[in-house]
Amino acid sequence: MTMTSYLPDLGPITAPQLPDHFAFWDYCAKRELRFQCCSACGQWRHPPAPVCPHCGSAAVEWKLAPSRAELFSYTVVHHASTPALRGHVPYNIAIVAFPDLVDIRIVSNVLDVPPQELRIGMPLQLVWQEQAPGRVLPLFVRAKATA
Amino acid sequence: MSSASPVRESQRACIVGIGETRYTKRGEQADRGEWALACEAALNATRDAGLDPRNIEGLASYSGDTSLPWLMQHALGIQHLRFASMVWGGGGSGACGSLAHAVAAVESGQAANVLVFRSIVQRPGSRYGEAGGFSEVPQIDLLAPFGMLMPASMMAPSFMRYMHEYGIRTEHLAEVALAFRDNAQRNPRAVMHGLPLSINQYMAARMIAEPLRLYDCCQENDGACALLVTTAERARDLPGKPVRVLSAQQGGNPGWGSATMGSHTMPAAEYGWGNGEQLSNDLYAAAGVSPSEVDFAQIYDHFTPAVLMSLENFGLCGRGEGGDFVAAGKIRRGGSMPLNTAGGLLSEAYIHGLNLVAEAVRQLRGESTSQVPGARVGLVTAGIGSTPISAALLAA
Ligand SMILES: [Zn+2]
Repeated sequence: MTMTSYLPDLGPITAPQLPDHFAFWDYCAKRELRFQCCSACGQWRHPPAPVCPHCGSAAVEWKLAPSRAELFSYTVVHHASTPALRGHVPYNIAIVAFPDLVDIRIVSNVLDVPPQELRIGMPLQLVWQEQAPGRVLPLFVRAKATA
Repeated sequence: MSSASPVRESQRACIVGIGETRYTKRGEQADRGEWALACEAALNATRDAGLDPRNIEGLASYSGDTSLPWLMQHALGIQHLRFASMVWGGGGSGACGSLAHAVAAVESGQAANVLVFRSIVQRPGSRYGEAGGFSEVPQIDLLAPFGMLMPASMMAPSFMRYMHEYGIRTEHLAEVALAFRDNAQRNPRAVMHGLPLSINQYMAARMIAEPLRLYDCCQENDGACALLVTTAERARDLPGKPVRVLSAQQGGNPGWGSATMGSHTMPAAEYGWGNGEQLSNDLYAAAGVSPSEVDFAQIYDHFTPAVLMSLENFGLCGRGEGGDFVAAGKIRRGGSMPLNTAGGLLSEAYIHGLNLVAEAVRQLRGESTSQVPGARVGLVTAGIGSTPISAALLAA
């Protein structure tokens, strides 16, 4: 089966610039969704940052995201921001929350769900998709009812 | 109304001049360039104030204006440059922040006359709907691979959540777009002057990023705007009617540093509500006025839902009531809270919000093309949905 990725590789613009983000993407390349968790106070944080906003500690552990995820909000984009996206509109952008974590979310896409079926609060399940060599994205599909 | 500021009355900041260039569609003034437009607006502002431009002592701008202080000093012949400031913030969220810097400079005695300005000539490849402009956003790697590449798509999920939580409908967004376009029909400076908008046109327009249709998004324009800020004491020697700055501030709620330019991890309770509540509280407290004393507002309208959120964040209506508020006709000319009386960024021009301050000054001088009778206190906001944003309260 040939896999085409949901959105095409957009080149240099997608590359991480902050060293704090490198580990996040390195784990993604291994198909592990991990977030920073403060070793001193135990609070999770995202996006990656050099210091814990709760206690100021720089000591950090990268912990696996919980499996329970849901659609916190979304948009369906109809305007192609770059020629590479012209054949891909309309596409959705999902804001995915993890009910077991407070205010940890990621920007992602939901696969295989028509725009009119997207619902805030719908349960989602993580899948991985390679967008470009070395760039593996955490994406989501509709979670199966009571898996 | 009483002042909560410790500054002596004679030292309080006033806006004594406003200046603008022609406002046009994007690219129409590209042959002149941003420096020329900045100078034209600056000279118009000093002429309006009755001041010699060589007596400007301070410069304040925002959002990476390219008319750098040394260029402005050179062209305007500034003799005693004592203050130069650039406010952080993407888009126009620094419009009132740069005014705040000017106020701080004149009230602290760092500079007597401060020019606040913003000049925009939009270049190919810097269109707001194009991906090119975001390569310098340090957290773009968390957004771009998923196709989140333009301001509309960065902010749309927050608007979607807002509409979901509070029952805001497309008709409410349309009312904002139509009200501002209607105001532009009385303002000859407005780019959309002579181009009224109907509800049918609004509904039929192409979708950009749901829930945002074309007319929910601000324009792309060329032009420049400038303000001249000085002390009340100096204003007495000038010919015009000064407009007092009751307060001008920047701010942002906790957690918003990871918002639309990060990973959308702002606190869940306010994800779909903008980022103005804390700033709003500070702003009114410093001004010594309450929202009930505001006669009109110029609200940063980069997107129509941001106007509804701002009405709520800045206390002009209750939380979640923005939709009902606009549906009742309150933001229209003759309504209880007229908004964006020159047409706003949606229909006058998108000069990154500084033109909203200029229109507030006109209102308080009694010179607006959609004059609010007896206007005494006006609110101006700059940006919502990013951090920091800024706002100001002005009074006649
Ligand atoms: Zn900690």
